[in-house]
Amino acid sequence: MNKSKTIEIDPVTRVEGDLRFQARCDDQGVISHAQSSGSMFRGFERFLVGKNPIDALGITPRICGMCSAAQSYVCSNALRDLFQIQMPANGYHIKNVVLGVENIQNHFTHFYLLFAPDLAHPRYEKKSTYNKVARRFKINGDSYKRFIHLRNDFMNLMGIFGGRWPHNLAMQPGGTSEILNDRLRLNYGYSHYLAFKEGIEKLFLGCTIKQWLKIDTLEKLETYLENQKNKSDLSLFLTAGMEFGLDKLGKGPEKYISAGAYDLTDGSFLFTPGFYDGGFKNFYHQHITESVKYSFFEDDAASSYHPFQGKTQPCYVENKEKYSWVKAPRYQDQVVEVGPLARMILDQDPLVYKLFKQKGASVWLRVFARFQEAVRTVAELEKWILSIQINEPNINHWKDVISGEGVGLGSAARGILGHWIQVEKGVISNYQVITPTAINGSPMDHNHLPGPMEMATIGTNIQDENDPLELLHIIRSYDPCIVCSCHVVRLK
Amino acid sequence: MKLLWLQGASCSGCSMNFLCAKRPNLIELQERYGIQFIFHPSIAPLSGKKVQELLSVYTQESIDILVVEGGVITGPDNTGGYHRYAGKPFMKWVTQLSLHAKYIIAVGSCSAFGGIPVLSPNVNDTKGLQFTMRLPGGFLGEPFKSRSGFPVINIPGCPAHWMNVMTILMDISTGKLMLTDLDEYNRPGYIFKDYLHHGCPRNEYFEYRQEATHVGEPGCMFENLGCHGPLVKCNANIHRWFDGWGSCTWAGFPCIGCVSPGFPEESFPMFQTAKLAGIPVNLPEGVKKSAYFQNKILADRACPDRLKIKKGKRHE
Repeated sequence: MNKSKTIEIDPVTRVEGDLRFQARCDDQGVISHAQSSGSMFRGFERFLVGKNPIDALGITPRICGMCSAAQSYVCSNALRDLFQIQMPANGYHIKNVVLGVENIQNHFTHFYLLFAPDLAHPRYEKKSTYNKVARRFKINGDSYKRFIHLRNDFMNLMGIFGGRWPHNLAMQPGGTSEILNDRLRLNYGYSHYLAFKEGIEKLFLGCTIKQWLKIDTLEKLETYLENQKNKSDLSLFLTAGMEFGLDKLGKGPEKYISAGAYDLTDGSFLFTPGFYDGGFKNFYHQHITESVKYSFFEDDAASSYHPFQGKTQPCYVENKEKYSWVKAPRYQDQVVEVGPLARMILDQDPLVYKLFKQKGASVWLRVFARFQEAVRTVAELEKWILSIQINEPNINHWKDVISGEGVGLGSAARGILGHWIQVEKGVISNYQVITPTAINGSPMDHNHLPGPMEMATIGTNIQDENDPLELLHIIRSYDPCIVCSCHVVRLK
Repeated sequence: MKLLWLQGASCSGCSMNFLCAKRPNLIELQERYGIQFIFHPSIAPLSGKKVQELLSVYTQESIDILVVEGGVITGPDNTGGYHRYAGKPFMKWVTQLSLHAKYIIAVGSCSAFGGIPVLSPNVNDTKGLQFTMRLPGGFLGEPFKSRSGFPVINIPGCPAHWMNVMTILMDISTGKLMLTDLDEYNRPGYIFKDYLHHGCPRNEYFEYRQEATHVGEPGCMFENLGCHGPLVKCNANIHRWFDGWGSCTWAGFPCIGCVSPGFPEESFPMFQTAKLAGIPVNLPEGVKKSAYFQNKILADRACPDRLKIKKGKRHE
């Protein structure tokens, strides 16, 4: 007889925002059904209707305190598209520095504060690497503490280039707001960067970033791991993660999208955009649609809409079918994953893509992809800071428009971020946002397909239903940010 | 002292900024000031049922410090169903935990005054803890006092400056905080005593009435770009955000008044100054219109050449 058991985690902590996760296990302890529920509703986009287009700059960063600069970046891109203006090179460099600092800190903060403490769980006590892992990665452990100190200094860069964090207004449609006649500020920006780079090399990589980026084959990675003997945090994670079986957990949909990350002056991106479903294809934002069948919004039919056509009315009912405040965005009706893993695969990163081909996606690879992206961004940050030209303009002025549309796309730490703005009679008539966790943490859609995170947990064997550690590993490997997702709503 | 930190209708921004704190940072605060984090959603070792059990303990027993970040969602129809947390509506946790808390701190404009989520039409009926915008009352009601006899201590800001939060925690842990320290909005008066204008790196432009017309230009942003610097009490220009680096006007963008009880409703339109007959509708606190106008003419006349910027209009 089948005895199914329900696991409920409410709240899932060490994720941003309020997430409730439910899973059903069969008598073998294997998850057969999963529900990811965003449990808060803020009603964000409604605030913007009737306001001046530029007001979006003051409101949209406040969607999320973790990826505030990414929201600014993408919002200013949507406005730039609306106003149809160019941006000077300094504008690109400074925006990329501010976004880069935010994403880098997000990636490392995710590992040290949110993800890694689970590896110190007593369940792994018998593993050979356990003592090292527990000493360094537990809450208030050695590496945890060292990282907080390192992060504190690194965030000064946010003050230097952004003015404050989170929620700065330095990113404007035509560039950035600083007045670049202050060499001192640039010099100290660079010196803070150098300090952080050195910290990451010592604490995390165990070698210089230059040396690390030369590792582009699996053989060289093997050699690196042998040489490190688990001294650096990265090597310890890679070894322990495999020993603990994280490379066999949380596969997910294995289809990915990326809108590209970091706009470069020549119109390309640092990380190439695209759609991966076994082969590499172009990415078109028009193919994103949202379904609300299982979300607390009224649906007129069991179908889905592009954000520009989306119309949603909250309907909170203790209903068996509806279970989340997150809508279900899909790409051409397919369940796709976003985030650093998606970006690194679509960019065909020499290490991540090879590992993906060899071993498939997993919690382990998702965390590693996040590191790889962070380290590559740290290397780029230096180029951007040094490219800033003092006494050159960093902003172009724009003219307000009476009507029009604008699309801004980009990447927050956790994946693709899109803003869509429509203006009529000089004011905003529609504003829509799609955030990364709205995609990764989405509920089922009108075709009854589970969201990526739900999909990643189905089939997982749970050792102890009262302490579903495997489930927490999978959920946290996505670095879900529910604050971002639960207000992506338009009210009529 | 035991501290419990909850997040209501928030963006986690205050927590993220708090994590940037140094001397003491998060760890040093616990080690040097004896403040023990019993629970914070981003650093909690536990999840699920264990969190529910942990929180339930302090619905019966006293907790020293309860920090609330984010507004309290009461919709729909006063059920709180728009925000469920740890097994029940979040607002129920606030009611139950606040009964036994010695001190309650509202960190950030959302929990102090409602902030972003109360923006019209406030579809989810969010309230601040003891104020909703400028209106006393909020979720807990005007007469509410925590066990120490203090009302909810408000540290507004979007996000709240980590230094302000830290300083209150230090003062509570050393017993220095007095009831008389609080102002009419229950903010610590010693933090929120000066206007943002105080310490603004563009003060010299204000002095001689040289106005910027676009973001990214030199000049004072008060008359054309909607800067709230002379209108709101905020210490960000004096204490800056990160080790002396960064504040809004320092980085060249106008203050939008995020510490104000009226934020963000009173901040619209942003990047524009509402004017009547060429004079800003909202003048610096206590300044008379006629005096402002006379001063402007004199100041402009006294302006040295080195500060003069070309007169222009805001983009039409």
